[in-house]
Amino acid sequence: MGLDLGALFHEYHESLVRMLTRRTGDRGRAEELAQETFARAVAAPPTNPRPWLFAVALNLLREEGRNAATRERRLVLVKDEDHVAAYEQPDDAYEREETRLHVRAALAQLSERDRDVLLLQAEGFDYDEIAQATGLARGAIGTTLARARKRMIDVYTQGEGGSHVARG
Amino acid sequence: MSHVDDGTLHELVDNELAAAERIAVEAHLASCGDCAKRFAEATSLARQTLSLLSALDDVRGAVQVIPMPAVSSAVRVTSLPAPRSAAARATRPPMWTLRRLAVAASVMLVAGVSYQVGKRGDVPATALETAVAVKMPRPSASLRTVPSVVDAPSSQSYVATPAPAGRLVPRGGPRADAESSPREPAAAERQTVPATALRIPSPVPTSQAAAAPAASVPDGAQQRQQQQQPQRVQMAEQSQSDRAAPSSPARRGDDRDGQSRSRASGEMSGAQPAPVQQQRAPSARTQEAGASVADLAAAPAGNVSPAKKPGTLAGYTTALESAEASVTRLRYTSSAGTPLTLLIVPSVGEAKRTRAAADVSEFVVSTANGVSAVRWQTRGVRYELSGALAPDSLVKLAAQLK
Repeated sequence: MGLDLGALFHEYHESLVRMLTRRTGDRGRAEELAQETFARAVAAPPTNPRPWLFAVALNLLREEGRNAATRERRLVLVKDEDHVAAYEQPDDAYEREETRLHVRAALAQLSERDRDVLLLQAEGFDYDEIAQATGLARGAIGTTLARARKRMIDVYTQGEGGSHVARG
Repeated sequence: MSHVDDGTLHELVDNELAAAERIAVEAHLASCGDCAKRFAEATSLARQTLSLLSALDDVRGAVQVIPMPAVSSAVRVTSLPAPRSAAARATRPPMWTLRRLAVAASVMLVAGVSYQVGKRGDVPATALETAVAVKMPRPSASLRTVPSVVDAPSSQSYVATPAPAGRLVPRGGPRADAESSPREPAAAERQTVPATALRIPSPVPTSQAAAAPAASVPDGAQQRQQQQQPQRVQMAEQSQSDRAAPSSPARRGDDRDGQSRSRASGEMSGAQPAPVQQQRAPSARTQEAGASVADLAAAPAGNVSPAKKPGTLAGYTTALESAEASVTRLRYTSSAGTPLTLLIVPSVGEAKRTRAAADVSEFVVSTANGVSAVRWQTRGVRYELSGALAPDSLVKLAAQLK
């Protein structure tokens, strides 16, 4: 009791959906997960809402991932195909879509923990909050971020270079 | 102090070091070029990472991002009254209403009243990421297998159109549709939506009418709209002149850059100057605008074979909505008021890329939140038809345009 869901929603919903969209690449799914997360907040009001909400959301995502691994694979296939046959857009939009694909690919190369830490930090979490949301030791966050950022940029840069070569 | 490890450098970047440690690390950086360089790298990595991650945010491609005040205002005219509209129009409706809205939207979609959907600003016409993408290698084949159950008024009109030889509408399919579909939606319609909701109020409330570009709104509203939007009229005239000279460079394949807009217009009009004269005649409703929009308007409902003209849809009226930045936007409105948008995008980047410029003979269909989009490509020009219709209905319409 005493949980002001409206305020909670107002304050964290956008950030949560953004993080989940980045994580899943699917805005609709992100919204669903966020909805479920807030529903759980109603059931068990958290004392420290922000890390709690994000931790719950990431857990939901993991559960969903386990349950629906095959579904995800199929979706990815469809999406790839869609991209290949995709209706081309004007240059800037095209570039953006390319960037998005490369970023997504780079993010996919990270371990789940690194990815989560990266995404939480991008939402403005401080290390204490990241530690709470992920269960990592606070002292490990800096190292994790160092590794995650480096890998992210490396893979992204490779991916970009690779595709330019491939495209001739 | 020995060299600083990466984790500590990133802690410094993120301002997460305790004061004492921060001072020590900064002192070291001041005296150690290597570590200072690594710190700069760490800073750069952090910045780049944030920037890259933001690329994943829900920004749609430019084609979808172009604001469409026209659609939303049209939606307002034709949508259901008060409570639900208000909820749907809110920029960020509470999540627990969303699911209900979605259910309502799908019911309405089946009922053929599809205006409600796709008006939320943050859900543009197509959402590729969330799309249930259906690749349709041969439109005719898919038309045969996918029954049309949506948008009864318009499906009636185009299903009833006899398929000319070589057209994409197969003989078997539409008939089955005609038998099965109009009845069902009509029943659903009665249950879920008050009949008045389907009608556009005859004297359109002025505030709404002023903003409503839908070609299907009463004549007065259309005229008013044209008066208020001279730019649009002007653009329409430009494409009219394109059409008047079908052998202009715009029709040739060698114009990659400057002609893109007129080329796109030319695509849609095909090599047919005919519609101009034909449309002039019934242009009483557009008299005031000098028939400039009328030349793009689709054939009147009574037209015998509207499907033969590229750029027209049976049962739909047309308006050129904008032709900015080489993207031409045509707007179709069915007799029932369902708005459709056709984007015509010349492939400016094609020459640069090795990707084949060949025609893509298929329709790529995506749907999200009740709004579907069909994309295809002809002679290097990309088209996208989108609207709150079922994908298969949209594909049929797209087949008319292709």
